[in-house]
Amino acid sequence: MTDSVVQLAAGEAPDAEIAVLVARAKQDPSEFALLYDRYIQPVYRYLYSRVANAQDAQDLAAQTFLSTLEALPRYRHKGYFSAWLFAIARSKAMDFFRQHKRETGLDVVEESTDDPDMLSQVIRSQDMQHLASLVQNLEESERELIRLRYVAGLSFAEMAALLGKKEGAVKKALYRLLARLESQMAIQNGERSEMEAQND
Amino acid sequence: MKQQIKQIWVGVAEGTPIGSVWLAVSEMGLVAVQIGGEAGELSRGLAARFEVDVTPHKFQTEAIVSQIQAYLQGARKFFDVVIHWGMMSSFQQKSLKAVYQIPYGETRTYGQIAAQIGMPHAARAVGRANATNLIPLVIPCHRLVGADGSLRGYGGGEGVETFERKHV
Repeated sequence: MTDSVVQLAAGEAPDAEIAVLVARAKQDPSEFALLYDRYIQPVYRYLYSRVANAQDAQDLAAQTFLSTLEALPRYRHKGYFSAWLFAIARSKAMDFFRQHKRETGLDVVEESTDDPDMLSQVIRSQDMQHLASLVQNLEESERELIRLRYVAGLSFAEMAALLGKKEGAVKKALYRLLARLESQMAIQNGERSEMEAQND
Repeated sequence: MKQQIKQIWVGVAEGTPIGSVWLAVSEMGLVAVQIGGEAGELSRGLAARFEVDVTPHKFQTEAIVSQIQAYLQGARKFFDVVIHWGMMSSFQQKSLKAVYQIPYGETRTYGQIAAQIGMPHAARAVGRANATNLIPLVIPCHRLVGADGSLRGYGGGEGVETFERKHV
């Protein structure tokens, strides 16, 4: 897993552009549609990764945007709007778990692929299963780093604002975590190759 | 005892700032609201749940559609609609009637609602009643927060950090 391939869905827009959208929405709530359109997918993906159910993720995303819309007049744009939005989404997810008492590892919305190479699909699927089991065993705070970065697509600066930490510290924590996962994957792949060689 | 529903009509508020909002009414009032999702999803769910005919009907739903549109465009802060409370259990009615009264832009904790309905130890049950609310948006379940009052910390900028420190 390399960081360069990340699609920065939420964090790609310059903050000044988002500030303009926020100011417009504060002035006229019907303009909130622009913020909704920009963030609905990352918010939905993030919530889905936590609740692993499309209907629940949709309901929580709706609640997130309703709360955001109603609280917008009190919002002061000093940091990152996305950090504020995802703080609300996180609180909705936490409330959900208080009611349902369960939490999933890191379920990701499946996307269809046109890759005709079945073998590479199978290998990738096995790798994904290994990766999922490794992620499942992480601490919740570590899983949250992965969700915010790779599922929600937040930038390090946005993550830092959301988590109340320094950007460098967030970056360092995530890269250490990725290095650990990578080495665990390599060990698992090595063991798998050895077993396959013995079976041949 | 829950009242039997005989007929449900559905309508849609399109082009709101949070996408399409679907709604359903019975002869006794508003039954359900669904934010987002696909056409027909709400109808199928209600037909299966209540075992009745569910049909689109512009005239039966237009008053609520226009209130939802006005609300989401910032032109109104509360709803003036008849809700079909009779489809709910007595406890859910009590809880959600209290939630329905939470003013725009404010929040309440589950414990506060439990106390308000005279059952101060029923915060969890209020949470469950809220989680099964079929009429989100109009009955503002998004204004209920955990015991720590999480949403109150939201102010943006340094507010996010304060929120995290206190509540995450």
